[in-house]
Amino acid sequence: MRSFIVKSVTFLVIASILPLIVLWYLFVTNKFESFVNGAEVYASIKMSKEKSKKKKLLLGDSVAKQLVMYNKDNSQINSLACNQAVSMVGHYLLFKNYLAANNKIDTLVVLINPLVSFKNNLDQLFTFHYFLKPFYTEHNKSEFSEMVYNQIHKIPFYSASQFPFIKATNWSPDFKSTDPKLTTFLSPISREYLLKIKDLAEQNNITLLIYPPPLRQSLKPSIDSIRASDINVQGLEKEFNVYFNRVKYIDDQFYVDQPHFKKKFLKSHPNLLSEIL
Amino acid sequence: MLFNSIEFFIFLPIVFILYWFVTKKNLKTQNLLLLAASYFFYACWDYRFLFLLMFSTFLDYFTGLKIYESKTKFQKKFWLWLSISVNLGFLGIFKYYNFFATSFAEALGHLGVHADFWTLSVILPVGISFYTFHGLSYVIDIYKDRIIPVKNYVEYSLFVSFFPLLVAGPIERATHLLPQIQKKREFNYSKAVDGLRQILWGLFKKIVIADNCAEYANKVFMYPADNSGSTLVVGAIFFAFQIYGDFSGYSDIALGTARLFGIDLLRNFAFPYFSRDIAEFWRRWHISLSSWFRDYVYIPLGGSKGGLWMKIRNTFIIFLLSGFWHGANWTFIAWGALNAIYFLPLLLLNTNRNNLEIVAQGRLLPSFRELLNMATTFMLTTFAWIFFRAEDLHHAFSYISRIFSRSLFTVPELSTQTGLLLILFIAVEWIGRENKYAIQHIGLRWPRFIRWVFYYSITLAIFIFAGKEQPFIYFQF
Repeated sequence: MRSFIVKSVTFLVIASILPLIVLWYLFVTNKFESFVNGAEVYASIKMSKEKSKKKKLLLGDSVAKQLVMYNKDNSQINSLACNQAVSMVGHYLLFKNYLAANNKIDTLVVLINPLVSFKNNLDQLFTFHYFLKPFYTEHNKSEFSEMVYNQIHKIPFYSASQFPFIKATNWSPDFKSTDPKLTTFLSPISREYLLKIKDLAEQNNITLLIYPPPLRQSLKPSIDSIRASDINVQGLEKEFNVYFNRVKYIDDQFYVDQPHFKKKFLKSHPNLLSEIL
Repeated sequence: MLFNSIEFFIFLPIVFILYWFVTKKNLKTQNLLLLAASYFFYACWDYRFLFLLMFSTFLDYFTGLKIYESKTKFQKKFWLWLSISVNLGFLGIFKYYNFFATSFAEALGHLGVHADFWTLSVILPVGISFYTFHGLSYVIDIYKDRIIPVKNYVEYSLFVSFFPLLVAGPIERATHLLPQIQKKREFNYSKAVDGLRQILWGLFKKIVIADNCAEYANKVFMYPADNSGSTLVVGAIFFAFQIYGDFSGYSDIALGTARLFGIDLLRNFAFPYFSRDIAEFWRRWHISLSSWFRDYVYIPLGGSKGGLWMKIRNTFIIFLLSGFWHGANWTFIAWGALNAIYFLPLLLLNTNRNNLEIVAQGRLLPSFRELLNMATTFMLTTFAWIFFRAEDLHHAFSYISRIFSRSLFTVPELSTQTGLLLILFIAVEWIGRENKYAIQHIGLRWPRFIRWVFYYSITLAIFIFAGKEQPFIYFQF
């Protein structure tokens, strides 16, 4: 019995240390970034810090990413589109990185789905993986407003998000926001950071365009009712006027879920993104 | 509390230490401790259903005694049917009521009659199908004079609720488990080490194989119309390995855990994908359920001793029941029916007991004929799994019709990492197929250092290649 316990404990201790060593290695070399949940965000962050000569920058969610992936000609576009869960704060930080890398662009396109992405108020299950882990760094903290901090502090273990053994794994707390459901089309944080994106674009003489991807036909009544209501886009009226005027509907059969297209459809429409832009 | 959760790996050592040290190897105290731990384990799921489990346990304990004490056949039958009716009644209400209500309403709808049945908004108590079958086998065995009822209530309760088998089996028999519960247990070093090794392999099967295959299979099954025929074939194969890794992995952890407490549970899997025909597959897949149906349904119905029609009828009855046991959905019934159709030719030609020994026993490689037979059996079972996995029959048929399209001959979209892990897994399972579980004897003769490196490699693989955590499939049954 004694021998069994000693050997089991020894095995368990070594078995626990080994993964920690591997994790530490993955963390130090940043290799974890390519396989953890939210890997596409790390890829976008990395790209946002690289030099590029392209004059058009695209920010956006997973639908925008899908469109870029199947677009035939991306020679004029540099895309940092990743996932809506990064929130508008994440998009803003990507944009800021891009400019900090001395990239000169004339147009910034924010390609966003109207029903999911604008609603993000850093209150989602995936906020931990897609926002906190990649963006809640010492370097970025000065960019966060009080509203952002208030939301972050509601997420359990938010301060642990940068611990190597958490950041380099797929662990996240089971977070379910208890905030009252947002009735507005645009979340307060999305609005605040869209305005910041707009300011930054203006300071750098960049034209900001906020565009929708093509939407499924059955969403038309919802979109019409959003337009008819007070959507609280103060300071962004012009951009959202253009946004809603550009909504185009496509038959539901070409979608795999609410926002995403079927691969087959995208393969047969290789110019979809170019046409939008 | 999942077997692959941190909570379980805190719970298990605590119970282990209390069991071997604090109880001072006193049998009564050990049993009481295991029962308390089992109830705690169950209450972690949903404490409200603990009362249902306790009631079911009491019912079978009580009716078991009554059957034994009964002087007349009529009295015996009364107590037996009371137990069967109440047990199946609970199962019917919690598991099947909504299915029958909606199916009946739909059938009436086809006849032009509008019927709106009241449906229940209840969740399925975890493990109900398993502990109900435990209890039923106990009372039936007493009725058939195979066993005498146990007097000690704690011993009986532990037989029903022993935590390693409580939520997803194996479905134990009183003749096998009760004597072990009643006998003084001494710590056995090699048994405990073997238990740990089996737990390790079970975790690998679940976390690495099943969870990785699940990610791919879920995507493919979710949007069959968006995938090529060849990708759908790979999706079905990945599901076949998902369900095997998931359930046999669970069973390995259950068996290994029980061994730490000096208890041997019934074997539930014996490398079913190396079967050479469907009959062999069913002798190797979910063995405790197949043998339960054989002993308590098939044989009492006359088995294969009657005429041709009786053979056919009984075969269909047990396969349909087996399908229905898995869940209240036509897909499970179709899965059961399909397996009955596969099985029938073997039964009618009397070749269903042709392959009783382990394939290629004592040889490294199978013969071409064995390989062909294994591939055919695997293909047939994988085809049947499509029904098992589908949301409904329409989903299953659209999946199958999409397979048989021109796109069947295109290159499938494959998850290379999962594919490579599967090849490695199949190789290890093949090497270890003559044992109770694949790595039981692998490396036992190697120097300790190399053996430990082997176990650490498995541990690291579990850690590095862990798929996105999925609940155990059989918990829903």
